Amino acid sequence: MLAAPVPTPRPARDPRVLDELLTDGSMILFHTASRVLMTLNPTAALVWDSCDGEHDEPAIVATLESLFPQAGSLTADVRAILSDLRSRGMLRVDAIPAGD
Amino acid sequence: MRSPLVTDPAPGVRLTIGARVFHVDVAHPEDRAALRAALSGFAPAAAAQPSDVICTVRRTAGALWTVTTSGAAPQQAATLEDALLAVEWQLVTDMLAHQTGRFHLHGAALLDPAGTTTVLVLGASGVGKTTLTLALMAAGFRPYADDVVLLDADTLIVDRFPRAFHVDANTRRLVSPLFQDRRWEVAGLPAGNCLPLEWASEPVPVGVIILPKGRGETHPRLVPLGVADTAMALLSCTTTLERAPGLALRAAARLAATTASFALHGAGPAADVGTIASAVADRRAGRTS
Repeated sequence: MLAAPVPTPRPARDPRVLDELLTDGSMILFHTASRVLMTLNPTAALVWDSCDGEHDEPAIVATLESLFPQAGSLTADVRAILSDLRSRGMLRVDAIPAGD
Repeated sequence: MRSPLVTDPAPGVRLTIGARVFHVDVAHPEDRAALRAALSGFAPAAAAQPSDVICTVRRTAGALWTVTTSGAAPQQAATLEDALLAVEWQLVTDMLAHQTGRFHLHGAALLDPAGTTTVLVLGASGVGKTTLTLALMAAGFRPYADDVVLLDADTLIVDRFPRAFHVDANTRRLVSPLFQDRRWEVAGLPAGNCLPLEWASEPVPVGVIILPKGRGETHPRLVPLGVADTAMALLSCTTTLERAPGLALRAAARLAATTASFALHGAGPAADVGTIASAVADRRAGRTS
């Protein structure tokens, strides 16, 4: 019998976070509950935009690699950005959909 | 919303700051004269306007002053100057808490002598903002505001906010020679207060932001800041982020996009002013983005 597939995390933005895109492509995030303020560089801002609860990490990597085909693998970069966002509480902690 | 205060106690000082009407009830004539002088930059309130806030100042035993504002815990001060600072702090804090549609910044705003560029001098307390602001005034810049800067959130135009500067004796010693014999401040204010004779009120967009980083250089250095660093610096200098975060983020992003911003590693007031004046001229000539 095959094991049930392990659900893949689909990062989702915490709805309490306000974001503001800057003219150079970077972004400011402000968590209205924890009052944490941070900046994202343009690549991290694209990752943030992809955290819609619909796309898992490989899909986010694929999106970025399609935008920057000459950049090579972006898996480690995306993982580091998501880790940073999680550690600062900018992503929902319950964003692992069950069973699909 | 305005409190339903119809009858004000007398005697006192009534004035309008922002959209708020204050009545400061001061019993001692000497205290009242000093308070009136320190707050003389603000418009008196019309007699028919009910007060939003009533503040009382009383001399108490042991040569202390007690300041009480509309139900808040009383503050005690050891000197009249400290009592005046406490009153002013309470009034301005109340005004800021009731501001809408304004982006607040901790710093100073000045109009350059040509009247084409508004300059913001921003940063934490103790980095030399007031010294630099006074030195810029000695070079012909006119202030919109010192300590509390309010910008219209839609137009990003700075409000004129003619509050007395708080200037300690060391700062005064440092900047007084720059004014030479020119009369530039209202005479007769309580110690520690300085009210400029001239203020700017023209609606001129902010073009240059200066973030002083202390003095100690042989020659002043202006280090350009990127958009993200500028926005973060603005957000570290505002109370609007607490009260209206969406407005604060949008205002900071727009200001960062439309100004030339610099960290100033200073060498001294006179030299720093020359460097800033050059940056403003460059901005006016389109040599900086």
